[in-house]
Amino acid sequence: MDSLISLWQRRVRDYWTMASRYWGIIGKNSGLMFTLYVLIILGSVYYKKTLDQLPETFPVSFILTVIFGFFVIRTPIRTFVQQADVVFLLPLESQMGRYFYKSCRYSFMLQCATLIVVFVLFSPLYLKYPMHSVASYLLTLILAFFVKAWNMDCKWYEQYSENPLVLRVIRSCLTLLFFYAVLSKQSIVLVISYVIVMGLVSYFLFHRQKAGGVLHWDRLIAMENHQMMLLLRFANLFVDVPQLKGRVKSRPWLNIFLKFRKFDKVHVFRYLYFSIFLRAEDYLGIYLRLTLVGAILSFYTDHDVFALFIILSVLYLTGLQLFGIFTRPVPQALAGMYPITKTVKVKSYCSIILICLIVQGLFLSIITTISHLRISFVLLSILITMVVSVGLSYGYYYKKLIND
Amino acid sequence: MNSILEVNHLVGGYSRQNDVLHDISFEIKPGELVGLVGLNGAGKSTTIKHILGLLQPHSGDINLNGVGIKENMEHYRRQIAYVPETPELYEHLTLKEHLSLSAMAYGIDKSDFERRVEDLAVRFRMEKRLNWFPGQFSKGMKQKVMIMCAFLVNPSLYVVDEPFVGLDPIGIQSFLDLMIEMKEKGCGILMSTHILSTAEQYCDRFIILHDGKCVVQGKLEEIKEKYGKRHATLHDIYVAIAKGDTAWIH
Repeated sequence: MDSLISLWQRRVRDYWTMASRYWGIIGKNSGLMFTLYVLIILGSVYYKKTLDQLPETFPVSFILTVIFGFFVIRTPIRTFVQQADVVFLLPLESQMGRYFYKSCRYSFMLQCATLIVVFVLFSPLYLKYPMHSVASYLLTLILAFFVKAWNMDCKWYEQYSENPLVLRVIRSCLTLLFFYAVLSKQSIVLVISYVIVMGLVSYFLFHRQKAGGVLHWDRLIAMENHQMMLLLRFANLFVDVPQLKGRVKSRPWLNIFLKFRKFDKVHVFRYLYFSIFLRAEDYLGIYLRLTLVGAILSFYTDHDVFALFIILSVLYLTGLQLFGIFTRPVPQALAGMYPITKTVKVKSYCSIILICLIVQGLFLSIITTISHLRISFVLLSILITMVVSVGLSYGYYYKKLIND
Repeated sequence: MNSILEVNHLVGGYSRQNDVLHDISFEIKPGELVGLVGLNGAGKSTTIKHILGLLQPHSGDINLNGVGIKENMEHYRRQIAYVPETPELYEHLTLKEHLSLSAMAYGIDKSDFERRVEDLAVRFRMEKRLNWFPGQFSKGMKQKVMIMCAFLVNPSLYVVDEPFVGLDPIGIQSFLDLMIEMKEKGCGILMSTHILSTAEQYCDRFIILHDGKCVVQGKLEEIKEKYGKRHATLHDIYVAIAKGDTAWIH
């Protein structure tokens, strides 16, 4: 079916257009690039140091088996299927062989690229030992490609199985055994016998799944969505990703903070905004991460003024991040219809922001005071907390929102 | 008897350049269930949005118990409960929290609230799902949440837009029972629907919209008389209007 192939090609193209757009935005984020450079330089220095200190008895074959094994066994298939395909493509399943073959080949090539990167990264560790040579390393890489292809083939037939877990365990064990035999230079007979076992298992176990089972579309879709989410979630650290809007976590252990204090009109929007803070869009995660980074930085800063500046910056950044709580869409038929005036609504929002910022500011002040034990510092940090919290919430946001 | 809702010569729509509704007038008296019927795009939802105060009339006015939304928004909204066509819920709140917020917003006190939640949850078979999040609900259950929120709050006017879509038979029956109870208490109800057989059975009066105009309104008997066929059903009349057979109206 040519139209299925062109559908596949269009989906791959669309994905790459979207992905390159996100990578463009991430790349332009100079802070990230700078952090990456620093991490790479620091990492390589420490890597070299660690390598130099490794003892002769270090189980290098075992460690490399685990690392290479992980990347070879983890074999997600990018099928580019979508939820709606269950309706529209399901009738064509029998004609989709080429479509899925292309998906497997595409995933195989990308994962081989990842394998090359992993092999390059670990080459200093491998080549440190005199019994290893570049030639044997390259041979291992080529064998890894073959095992990857075998894994991809098996993974595809797992999609037909009722119980893929057992199959995955068998596949993983064989892969690990094979790598260990290759890396620790065991006899060629053993390696060849593993290859024969893999072939037999493939033929008599994995390929037989198709005859007895149906293709589990829901699993394919879940696998595809998971792959997609990896990129989106990463990009979401830098920009707002629309697909990730509206994510909610119930976090029942936080319900002790979320109580109906009074059963009246004034508390409706307070409850609503505070529940958004605790459960939606990961506002809580942003808040905690900023607090943690601020606490570490200001704790280890020697100078009082810098520490105060860090507290101030964290409060300000948090305040900005939490603005989304107000603008987050709420159901028109519920929140939009409540007989509650805008003033009450805006005040509720400001009070929630105020509480969040004061708690954060006081926490930072307490932590920082441990390393800056001076009464003047305590007073100043509390003063800054109060001024910034009140200023941002009832000052800036109140004026901005009430006049909107 | 004073009307609960009065719509006087309403001209409206989404933009001033393009009127969707043309000179619509009707009223709803206490204890009346009024059916708002018309084809897709006839202007039912637009009319409802104007009544809810989500759209600004281009001309004409809408009063609830004699008060317009401009005069006192809080008072106006306090008297309406709304069940939308497509259920929209807070994804991050449980069913119980939805109900609590509605009760708080409309000034229901706590003990009254607990008692009515119990009753509503049993009627809609949702008593075991009070602590569930909307992500776990089917469309029909979401619709039930909207209906429960609306029937919790003691308004004088209910505005319900296509309430039957997705509801199970028990849900439909409980909903109809509740509407009858509220009518008996003296509330007014405006219901937009395509389920004509149910509408015929339950509505006291009908407003038939076509192309943004109110082509005919009144009790079913009156409309039938005008149409000239005593045995016609609402369905026949509706189809006739939709096909352009409107000579009998004038």
